[in-house]
Amino acid sequence: MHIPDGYLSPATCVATYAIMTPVWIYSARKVAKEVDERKIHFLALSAAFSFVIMMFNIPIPGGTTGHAVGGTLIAILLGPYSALLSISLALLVQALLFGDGGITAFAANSLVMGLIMPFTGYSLYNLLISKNASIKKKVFVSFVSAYFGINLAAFGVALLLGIQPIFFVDEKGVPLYSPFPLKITIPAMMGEHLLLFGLVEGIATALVLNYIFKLE
Amino acid sequence: MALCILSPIGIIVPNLFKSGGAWGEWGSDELKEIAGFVPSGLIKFESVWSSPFPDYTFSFIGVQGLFWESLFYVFCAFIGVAVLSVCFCFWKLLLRKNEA
Repeated sequence: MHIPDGYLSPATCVATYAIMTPVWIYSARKVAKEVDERKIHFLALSAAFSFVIMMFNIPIPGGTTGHAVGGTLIAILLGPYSALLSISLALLVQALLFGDGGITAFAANSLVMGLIMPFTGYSLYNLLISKNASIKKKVFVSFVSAYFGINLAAFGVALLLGIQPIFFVDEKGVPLYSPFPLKITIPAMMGEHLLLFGLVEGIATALVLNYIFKLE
Repeated sequence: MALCILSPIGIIVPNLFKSGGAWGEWGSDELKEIAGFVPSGLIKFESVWSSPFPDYTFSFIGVQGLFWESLFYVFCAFIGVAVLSVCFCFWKLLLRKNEA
């Protein structure tokens, strides 16, 4: 799900940075207000968790791979703003050190994996769950929320990649950046995430929450 | 920690299935095979940044094979976690300073 450098036009990159900069600042301020040393440990842990879980690539027939992100999981545990920060930081390290996801596309990747995914999962979870729900119900709802969270994020990636050949072509009409139109990017991204990676994200979320809820 | 050590599963399993990289994350060489051409703007911005450990490998050490790739993958997992931990340690120090 990491968009590399070169797939998005400069205009798209600027636009995503313009969206994400205030979001990052707002979240950082919000989290900084309520943070204490204990919470920093949890934030560090979730950033590390998200970083490493994205390294578990799962192959699907057709020659591509994908992975879970843990966006909804972190959002349920620490709140969506904390999730946004820790995932963005994990993405930054991936981009800077390992070339996984572009620098110019860093804001776009943070937008889908740091903003769309945890906020979707978190909102859905809170919409469906009542305060005194049983652990079983909470775990099941977390599975569903994580599934939708990652799929909406995948849809975001498909849109970002797919609009490139509509707006950014040279004088002969040849695409300058991502060459695939929406009718290819949407089925490609959604197919694999609806069928497999969404389930993987859901199961990972449910397993961890099941463990933590039982501890509490 | 355990996840770091297990992380090579993330490259060994795709390797067993002979899968390539993730959809839409190809380099220009792979893209040429898939799309038939490489968009000119993509070439221009593709190498805007060269990371020290591209694709979680230590490419400057000239060894190849799944074993080494797996080993480097674990190292990279630890490096990543270490860098992130340092960031949060700084934050913690900052917090202490502000409280003091």
